Amino acid sequence: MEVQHLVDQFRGPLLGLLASWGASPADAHDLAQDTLVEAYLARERLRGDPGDPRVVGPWLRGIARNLHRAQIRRKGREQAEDPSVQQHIPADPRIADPGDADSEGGLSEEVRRALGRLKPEFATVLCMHYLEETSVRTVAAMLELPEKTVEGRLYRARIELRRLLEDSSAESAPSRDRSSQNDPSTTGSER
Amino acid sequence: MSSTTTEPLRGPSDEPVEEQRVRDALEPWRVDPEAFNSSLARRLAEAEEGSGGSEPDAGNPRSLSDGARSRFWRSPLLQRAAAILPPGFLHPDLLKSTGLGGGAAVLGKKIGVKGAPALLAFPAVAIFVLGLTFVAALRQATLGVNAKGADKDANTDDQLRFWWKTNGRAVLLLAVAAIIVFWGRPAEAILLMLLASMIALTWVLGKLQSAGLATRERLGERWGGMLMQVGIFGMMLTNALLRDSGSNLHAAWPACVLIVGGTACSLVGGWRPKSGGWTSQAKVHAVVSLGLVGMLYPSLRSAPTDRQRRLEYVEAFQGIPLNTAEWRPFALLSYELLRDGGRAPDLMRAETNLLKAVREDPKVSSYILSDAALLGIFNGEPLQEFADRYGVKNLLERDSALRHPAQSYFDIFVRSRLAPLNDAECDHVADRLLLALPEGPKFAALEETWWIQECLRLVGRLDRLAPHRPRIRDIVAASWRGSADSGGATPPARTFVDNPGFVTRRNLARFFSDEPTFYAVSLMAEHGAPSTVDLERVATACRMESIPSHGWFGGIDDTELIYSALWDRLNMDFEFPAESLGIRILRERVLVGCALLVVLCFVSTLRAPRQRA
Repeated sequence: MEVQHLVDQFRGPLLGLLASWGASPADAHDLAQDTLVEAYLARERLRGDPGDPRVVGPWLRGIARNLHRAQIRRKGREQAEDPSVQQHIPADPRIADPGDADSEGGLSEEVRRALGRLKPEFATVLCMHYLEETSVRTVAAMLELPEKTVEGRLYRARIELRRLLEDSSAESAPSRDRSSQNDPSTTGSER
Repeated sequence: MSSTTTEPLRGPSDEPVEEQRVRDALEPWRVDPEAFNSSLARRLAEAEEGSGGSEPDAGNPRSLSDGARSRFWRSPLLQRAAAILPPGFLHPDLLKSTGLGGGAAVLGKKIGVKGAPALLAFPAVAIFVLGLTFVAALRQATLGVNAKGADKDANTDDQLRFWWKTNGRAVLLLAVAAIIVFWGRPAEAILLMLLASMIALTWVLGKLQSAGLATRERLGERWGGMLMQVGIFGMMLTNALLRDSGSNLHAAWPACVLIVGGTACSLVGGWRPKSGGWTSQAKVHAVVSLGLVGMLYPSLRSAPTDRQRRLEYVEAFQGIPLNTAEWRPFALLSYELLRDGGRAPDLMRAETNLLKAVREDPKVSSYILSDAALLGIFNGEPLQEFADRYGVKNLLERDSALRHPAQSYFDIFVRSRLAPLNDAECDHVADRLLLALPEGPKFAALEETWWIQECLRLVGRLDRLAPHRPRIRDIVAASWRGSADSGGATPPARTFVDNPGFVTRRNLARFFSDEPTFYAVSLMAEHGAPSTVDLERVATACRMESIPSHGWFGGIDDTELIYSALWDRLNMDFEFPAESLGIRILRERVLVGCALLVVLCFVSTLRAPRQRA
């Protein structure tokens, strides 16, 4: 099992997976590295062909899931023991608010909120696929799903995302109208 | 997947959102591959440096990444587990390096509701440490302190002392709580609790394994030792448990499962792939295990005793010394063999010795004489001489009840052989016998009723008992401990004992001993069972008692033979529904529990990573 190959193949989907579970960018980065390190150190325990993404993918997903759960528990414990310690535990368990890391605000922010309201299976495939343009094959292998299923979910996820964006746009239209009257720079196209 | 230009938010709702917008939204999670890779390479290098090579390093938590290591040491689970785990499970140097030391210091403060897994595991650990302490004490007593490996032993002894110093009170509390909670309860509850505790312990160990603290070698060694100890020293316990649970297996089975399981753990843990051999401890375990299983092999093969063994027993019976304790089982077994329609036993040996003894010693017990008469041993003997010598009563002179039907049998036998009784005389004897039929519960009521029945059979008046069947059934029912009215004035001896129930010895419909059971079953077979007596449970009890278990190495005693005869008789005279698979498994729950224990230990050992050389 070569580390570089492992990282190149699974870095993107791992980060996407962790993002879809609600990890902040910093946590996702840390957890993805922990996952890859622990997987590499425990590589002897992997049963099956280490070059096969259908074998390695689910294994990495399992390690990442355990680490992520442990992190949530630990943060919860630390907060319980010391309430003054503020931890980043997103209210929405799936897509976290990246906070300062997001410099674009605006529309991306809206899309992220909509991603957070997507069904988990939709959010997961979107994050895993689009974060680093990971192939559908790798995503499918990691999630232990047929490729057709992943393709179907990607398409339906985007339609669902569109619907959620339209809904949220309709809800926020009155306030936007009011603010646009005060700020001429926001008139015209939204982006 | 080509990106598209952005569009206004409002549009046809069946159109998917643009891919680029999704990519933009995920931008904060995107990383610089080079920075990510270099950071990862650094972590890997640190981890590999800690492990000393490319092999996964069990036994060194430094093999974990910074984040994982940090999480691990902060884990309350580790602290609590380390606090209670006995010496040898964890790497002592690592514990020292984390400041946990013996770990026990945190026990009092840290084990609380949150430490549920560690707390649940505590009973199993306590038993394990008890075994270790016993072995350590044995070793000191037999080998002394100057034996080979004394330094290592002394270190273990120190750790044991430290463990007891810090956990002794908790063990005491646990023992007191166990006694209070389980006092008078089925022993299975304790086994169940131990299993739960073992599951918790293996869970804790699993966590430690994942952190590289518990290695296959250590677990194999420890589990192997523990299971062997439980298997060897717990033989008496499993024996009692098995008899309580109504198992159909010899008590050697659970012991062998534990011993073999312990050896399997030792062999798995003690395998050295590089040298292609096992550690010396694993070899010793294997040899000891092989020897023990070899010794127990006859017991493993033993099945409930059968007619052939009963036949062999009575035909081999010497008949001397002449005492009722020896003669009663022989007489009861012979009686059943003579009446069941199979090959009649050859009682020549007992007969020869008895007649010889009778000639030499005129003070032979009248019970033995009655037994001999019942079995037809006195045919052709000078009965007049017997009558004169033993002062056989003239049964026809009085009208009162024949109070001692067991002794009266011999009198009736001799009288009837010397001068056959006519019908009127037979009726007279029958009247006197029926007057002696016990009224309500009394001492030896079953035995007297049975002898009355046999006396009536001897004078050909068994039919006179027919009108008294309800009374006989009442006598049987009164001896049945399950009936509430048998308390109070009922003498405790020679009655059915304990409360009704299903599986445990305490609850089994078991009689006080084999003799009353014999009389009760015999009477029920002749006159029907009272509605309050559950024959299925009686049969279950007989079946259970017929399995040889007193002799660990294949021995057998007469009690088991009598119960075996009763089991056969119950099945011959009554119909019982077949037992379901669930009930049969329930009967073997001790074996199942032991097997589960072994599986837990074995899997726990197998899953642990190897320690680097």
